[in-house]
Amino acid sequence: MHSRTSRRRPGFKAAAAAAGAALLASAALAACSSGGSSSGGGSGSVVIKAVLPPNTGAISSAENAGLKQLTGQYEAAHKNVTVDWLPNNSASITQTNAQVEAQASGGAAPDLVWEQYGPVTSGSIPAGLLQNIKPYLDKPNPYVPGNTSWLSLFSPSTVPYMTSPNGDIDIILGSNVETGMFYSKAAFAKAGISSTPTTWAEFIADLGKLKAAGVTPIMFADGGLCNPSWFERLATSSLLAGQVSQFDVNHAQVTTGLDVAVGIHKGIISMNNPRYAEVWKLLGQLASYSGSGEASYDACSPPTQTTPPLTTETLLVQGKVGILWGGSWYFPQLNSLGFSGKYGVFPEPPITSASTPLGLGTSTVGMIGGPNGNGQWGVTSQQADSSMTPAKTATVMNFLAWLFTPQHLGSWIETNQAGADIPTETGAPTLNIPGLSSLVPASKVGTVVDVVLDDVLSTATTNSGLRLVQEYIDGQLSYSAFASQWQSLLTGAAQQWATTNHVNLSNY
Amino acid sequence: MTTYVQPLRRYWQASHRYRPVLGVLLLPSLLLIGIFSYYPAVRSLIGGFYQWNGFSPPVYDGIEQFKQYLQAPNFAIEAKNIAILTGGAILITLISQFTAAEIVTHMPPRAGTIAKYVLVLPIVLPPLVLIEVWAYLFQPGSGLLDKISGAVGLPQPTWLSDPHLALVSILLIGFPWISNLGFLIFLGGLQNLPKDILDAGRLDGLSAVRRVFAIDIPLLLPQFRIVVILSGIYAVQNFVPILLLTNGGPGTATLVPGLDMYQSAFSNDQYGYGMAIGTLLFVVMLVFTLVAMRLLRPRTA
Repeated sequence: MHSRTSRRRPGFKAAAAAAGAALLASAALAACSSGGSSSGGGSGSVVIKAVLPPNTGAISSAENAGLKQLTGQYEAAHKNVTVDWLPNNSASITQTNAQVEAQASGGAAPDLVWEQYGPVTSGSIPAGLLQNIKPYLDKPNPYVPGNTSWLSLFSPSTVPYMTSPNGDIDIILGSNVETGMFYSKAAFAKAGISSTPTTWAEFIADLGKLKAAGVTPIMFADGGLCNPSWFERLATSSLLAGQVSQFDVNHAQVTTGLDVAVGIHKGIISMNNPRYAEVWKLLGQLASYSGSGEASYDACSPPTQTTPPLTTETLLVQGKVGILWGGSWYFPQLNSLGFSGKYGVFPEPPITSASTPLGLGTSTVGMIGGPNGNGQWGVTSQQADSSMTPAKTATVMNFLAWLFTPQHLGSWIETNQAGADIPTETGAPTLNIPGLSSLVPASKVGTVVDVVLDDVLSTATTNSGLRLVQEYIDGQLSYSAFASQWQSLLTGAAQQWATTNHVNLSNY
Repeated sequence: MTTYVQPLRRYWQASHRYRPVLGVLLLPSLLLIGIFSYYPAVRSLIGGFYQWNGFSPPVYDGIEQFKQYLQAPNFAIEAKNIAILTGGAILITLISQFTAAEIVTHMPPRAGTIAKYVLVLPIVLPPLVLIEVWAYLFQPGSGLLDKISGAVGLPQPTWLSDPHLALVSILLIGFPWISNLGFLIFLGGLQNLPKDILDAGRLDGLSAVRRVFAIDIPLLLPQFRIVVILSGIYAVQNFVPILLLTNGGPGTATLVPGLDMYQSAFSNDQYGYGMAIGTLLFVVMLVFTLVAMRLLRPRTA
């Protein structure tokens, strides 16, 4: 999943709302504090060095107003604790991790570092850099009355993303970024479509109706990785759902480089496997309904982007397209334009046997997005952060517990993201947008299969893969030519991965 | 004779007396150029022989990475694209800038001066701003080019995302391609052509077109040579418009070796491979420069 690290600034109204919510919550904090809830800091003063969400400026910025307010409340109730928020100007998680690893090598990493579940649960973060915080999550959150365990506050779909293959939890995840099909109600009315599709076959049929009505049905934007990598994740996870156990070596929520290399080595992730080949035939079918100029757009580009790839969002706003495959980051702008009157959203429909005899009808809700939004933190170990004693760890976790009561989480996430991110805890307040809740999975999702377009094997493979997909979509490559080149890419990338990581694939 | 020799000797003696001082004065510049220009270049030449991901210690790989690039499926495409871009850039630079220089030279003096300033002034525009302007012009549907096409009833092409148009669109950037150094070089050359030859041509009744081909171009071969070399090198090096507007796409439609080098190093963490591509580019540009210097050398006879 290519999470979006660039964030937009919400209005002052949202900041004021969060500030108000935080003020109300201060009473609860004071009560907990006076009730003897441990700060874990002992008698000495504790300074927590914590990294802010990426590209949100300093703690004094409007985007961080909610976080600042909650921090102030916490510090007021815990006189010995000071939280020093550090700005985060990372362009990517790769850059962030390089920086954290460099700091950790000298024992100087911050106490609370911004992370993403991918690098943490796949093991690409060096072992021992982050602490296992599961013992704290198994206990009740001291700021939430009556809960049996802090972990139980999270939605069931979130916990597997936080859990490493060995059962440890090295990351806490605060919000989801979800994807879905955003549509124009006017375009649907013009095409005579009265309800949103519930299967992939119905979805394709609706694209046909839009085309027949003279509307550009969809813009499958391939100027960036978002739409192509989402499609790969959607169709591969769905069509290989029955075969994933044969190559899911690491048993993580999302397939790792080892899993994919093994899958390629075994010939399951292969254009010779009809199930895997079907993924790309379905893409060809979808792309035939796309408007021209796909390479000029990307579903993840910010609305202010002036050089290609441009955002697709404006195409929907300007009425130039019927459906867009977008993400929850569309909500702030579409909501300001009167979402429920003009637009709608529905989750990606499952691929059933009505589309292909190989379709399994596996639900893919929440498979593409996931807990990649704000509030993703790991707690560093004493090896990575020489100041991190067990007592300080307890203080850091206590502070996190304060930020992660459902009310607080919903409040500061909304201030920070204006509805673009959806809190991971049950009962956290979210924006009331029709269709929004349908994008979030109600239960644990199946194993998510990423192969080429999500940096699983290597960035070079991803870049080459995107070029092939672009050539396939704009007709420069026939299906057979694409299949041949894609297969070469797969085998070459798996061999390269195995060589680089000193893995003998024959052992699997 | 003595009157000429004495001052020359004095000058020679004086220049030798100050030589160590001049050397010392040049030393800081030489040192900085060495550190910031020559060292990275030499390091890059060596780096092509090593596999290096930017973090781990480099591993010697011989000429494997050079072979890998030359055998890569995209090599032929990149070579074709860069040949089209370089050839096109040289051609349009020579035609547009030489033609503009000819026109300005033969305008009435006051009008020529005004035209010269008007044509030269856009040089101060930062290249990134120029690219942003063209990004707007190329925007599908809402860009100026598409609006003009739509207004006159022509189809609205997707300039940058149509694989058949993308490379041409990159060449279009900077149209009419006059505001450049080449224009000033040609203008300087034309304004300093020997007056007696031009007068002889006039007496022989040469038309303006005949004069251009019979006198101007042959006498401006040194200027043509430098403009061809500079614009050729610039076309090969300058992948920034491609990086910002198409990222080499759609597919490989605008992929060029410079962009491949950049992405290999800074996106794919294949620094050694990137340096190998850079070294090959250097060799190609060196050969191109030598060939251009040979072909466009002035024939004084």
